[in-house]
Amino acid sequence: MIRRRGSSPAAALEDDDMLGEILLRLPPRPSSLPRASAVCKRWRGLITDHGFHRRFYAHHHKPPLLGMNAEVLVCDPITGDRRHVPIPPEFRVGYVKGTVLCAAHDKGHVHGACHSTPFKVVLLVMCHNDSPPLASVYSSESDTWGDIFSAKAPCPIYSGGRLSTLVGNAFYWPLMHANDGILEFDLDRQSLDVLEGPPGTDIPLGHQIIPAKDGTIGIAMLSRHYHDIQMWPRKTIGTHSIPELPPQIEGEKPWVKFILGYDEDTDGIILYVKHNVYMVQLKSMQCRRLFGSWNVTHYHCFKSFYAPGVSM
Amino acid sequence: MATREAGKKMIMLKSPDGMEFEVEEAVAMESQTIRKMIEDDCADTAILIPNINSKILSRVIEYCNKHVPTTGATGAAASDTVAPAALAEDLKIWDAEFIKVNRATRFDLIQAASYLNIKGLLDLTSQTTIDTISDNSLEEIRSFLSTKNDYLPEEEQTIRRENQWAFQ
Repeated sequence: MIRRRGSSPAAALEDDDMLGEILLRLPPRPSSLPRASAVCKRWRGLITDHGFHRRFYAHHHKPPLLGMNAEVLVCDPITGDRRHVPIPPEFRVGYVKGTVLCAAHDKGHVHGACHSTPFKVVLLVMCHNDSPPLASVYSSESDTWGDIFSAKAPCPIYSGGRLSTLVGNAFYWPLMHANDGILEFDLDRQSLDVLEGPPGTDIPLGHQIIPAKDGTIGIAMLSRHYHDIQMWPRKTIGTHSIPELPPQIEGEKPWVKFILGYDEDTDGIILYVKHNVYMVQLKSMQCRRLFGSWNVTHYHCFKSFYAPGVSM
Repeated sequence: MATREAGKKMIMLKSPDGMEFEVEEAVAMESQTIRKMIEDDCADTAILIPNINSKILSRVIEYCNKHVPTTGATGAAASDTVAPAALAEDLKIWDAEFIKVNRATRFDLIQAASYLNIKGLLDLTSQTTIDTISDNSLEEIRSFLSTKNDYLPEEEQTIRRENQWAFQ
């Protein structure tokens, strides 16, 4: 056998086609592909390839299981209403992110009690590292999906459970690193574009898109070494120390810390630092510990409110 | 194999290290690559297999000999007396013995099966490799396949966190 690099036993694995052949035979368990993609970047590249998904599906005669279903479930936790919405075929393979938007038309409607009102679902999908993301909007009134919009170029979106931020009538998703930019889906202009981001941090999960003053967007960034939050693009980039957070002792291994999410109503950022979840109010920089946990990955703000006419 | 019967077309396969293997055409045609050469009339009296050494080529031929369908006039005796399910079971046991080779040989067989396009052999070798590693930890997989982890610790941490359920 002619081997490319001496006689490494894993020479066969240096060929992408051959490694692909082997990985196709991973058991069709939901955990197989996410686990294998954590082995190294090359494996991840092969596994997230659109063609690989198709072949994996064909080999096992089952749909690919990378957290994907053929429909989205829209659920109202207050009323218990559920609605299954089939998603377009273009959105069935890849990383999908979705957001529900109230579509009430009546002038007297106040958001917050949007039960049983018409709604829209905004879906964003990244099929492949080398293909541009796609977005589309579903309307519950017409029970149809609108046009599919494509960004001009591929861009590295967070593959995890980051939520979008709604500012005005546009959604924003963070790209992999803050300085890669921000993906904007403008519902009025009907366009999907990448905006320039700030020079800044490259910490995974270290930044969060927030509405800035005057209806534009900003980014809150967690600094690498200290428990500070930097704000961009406010006139002066302020660095705010947060005394309530535990101090990072010099020489000690840095803690796991990241931004979990953002609550638009209270302008609060939710942080995970040293096994505790904190809420930091951005205007006052007041900080409150919410609870302790060794295992937090996703966070959804849930406001408790009374539905009108429901006696408790 | 039974003794070679008269009238069967034979093909010569040559490995780059100079060994020659005379095989029945039907056996050689288990490889879709060779089948294409024969059907397109590209095959001379001897076919040079450019990148598979004699040790691996002989194992590949052994596999094809075992897996060549025994239907038709010449194979009638075997299929008349043995039920298909029993044949399949026999092949399975034979395959399990055949693939008891070291890692390097298994990887060479994967490459050979891929180049020669022998689906059954590619399935057997690749599946065995995956079965060996699929229940192992990431570190064990990397070490077994000599794959270097090129993620930054933070990147790996992110991937693990985003798919935490898959690592439990």
